[in-house]
Amino acid sequence: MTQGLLVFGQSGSPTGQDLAYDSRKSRLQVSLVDTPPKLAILDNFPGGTALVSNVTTQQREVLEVIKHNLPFTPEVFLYIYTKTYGGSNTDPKAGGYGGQAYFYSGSAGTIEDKITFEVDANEFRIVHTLDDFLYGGGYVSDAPKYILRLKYYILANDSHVDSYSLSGDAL
Amino acid sequence: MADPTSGVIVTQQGVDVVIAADYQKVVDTRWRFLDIQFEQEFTISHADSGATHWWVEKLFDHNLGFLPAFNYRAISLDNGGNSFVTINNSLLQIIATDTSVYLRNLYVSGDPTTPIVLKCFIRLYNLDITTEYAAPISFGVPGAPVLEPDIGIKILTNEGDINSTDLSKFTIDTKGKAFAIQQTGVRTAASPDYSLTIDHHLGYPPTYFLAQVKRANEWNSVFKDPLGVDTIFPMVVPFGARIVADTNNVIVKGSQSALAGSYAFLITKEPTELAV
Repeated sequence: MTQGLLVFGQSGSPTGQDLAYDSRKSRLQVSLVDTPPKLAILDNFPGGTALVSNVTTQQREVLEVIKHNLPFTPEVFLYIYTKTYGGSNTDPKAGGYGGQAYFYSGSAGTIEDKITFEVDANEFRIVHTLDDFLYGGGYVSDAPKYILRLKYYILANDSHVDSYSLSGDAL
Repeated sequence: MADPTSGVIVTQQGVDVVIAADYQKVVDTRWRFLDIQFEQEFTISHADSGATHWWVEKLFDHNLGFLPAFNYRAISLDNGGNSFVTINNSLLQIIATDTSVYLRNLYVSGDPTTPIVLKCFIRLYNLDITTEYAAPISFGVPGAPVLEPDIGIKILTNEGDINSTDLSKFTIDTKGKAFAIQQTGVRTAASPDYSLTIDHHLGYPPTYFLAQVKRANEWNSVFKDPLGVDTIFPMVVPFGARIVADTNNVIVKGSQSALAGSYAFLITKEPTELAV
């Protein structure tokens, strides 16, 4: 490509990071006008229901589904802020701020109770999952005690995989 | 970098460029952006791995002269029959130096004839997040309108159709926002509390990313990097239950000493009025 628009930084040098704008380079982009939104804040979002753990099967509920209408599986970012726990914004479990997943509980590898995401070629899903590794079944999820504020980005950039979740693996 | 006295600012429709807040701008040439320097799929094959040392395969040279922010997605992995080799574990890593990007693996005895084959996609940015940097901030006038644009600016990144609805084909499109850089730097987690405090003072919990940085002198014994140079790991959105945030800081804590060493961070400018 031999054409483009360049804006130089203070040094006037058209190299490296002092090139304030370079139209030859693409960027991570998010639409501000699409419906459903590609970028949104979901305030007062319930943490989920009181799932009960099963030794052999992951317990799972889908909390939100957003159709992205993109011709590929996009890169997504999810940020999770715990507004209140048990109705309190001063509880130590309030003010938590995870990205891609937030673990409600998960001590010593026995229980993994979390809110996280999945994305594929059609939709972005916010999910609550409960895995029981060594607890022995019957663990009751802490999710109903959480009120969250979520922020998500569905980027206009191809992830180059068919689907992925927290682990980065294909689903 | 001194604050330039000339440059280009593009705002969203209906917003006066003189009073626009950061979230109402699409372009401000005083800012840095997360420009993509390189993105490509790779297939890497390696056989005959050693049991007690790293092996390293160079993927490509970026020659940027600094430790760049980058990320990747694993598309597929054939572990050659060795179940210890999994995607995203601590043994199989993609790292960058100030000149190149590598795949490396540690302490897995490999079959001399059956290779490990990884197919992945790498996106590398022209941004040194290991330097201390904070962008200027402009606060807006309450109530300034942000309307769905029927006029605006679009600049293609390469050959293509200006009427395309695919935002990724444009370096600027005023219907969308690109990630601009608010702050970068390096923080270190160490004994006794093993936590990172990112002091941003923005007034809200920001959008942020972390990338582990390993200096050449921080590697020990078998973990000593055969490259013998500073390295940076992929940039990720950190997850866990031990991250807290308020209006001034994001504090990332590990479990006991699990979080230790140096981490580069990136905080982006918020693309809308709302922040978490």
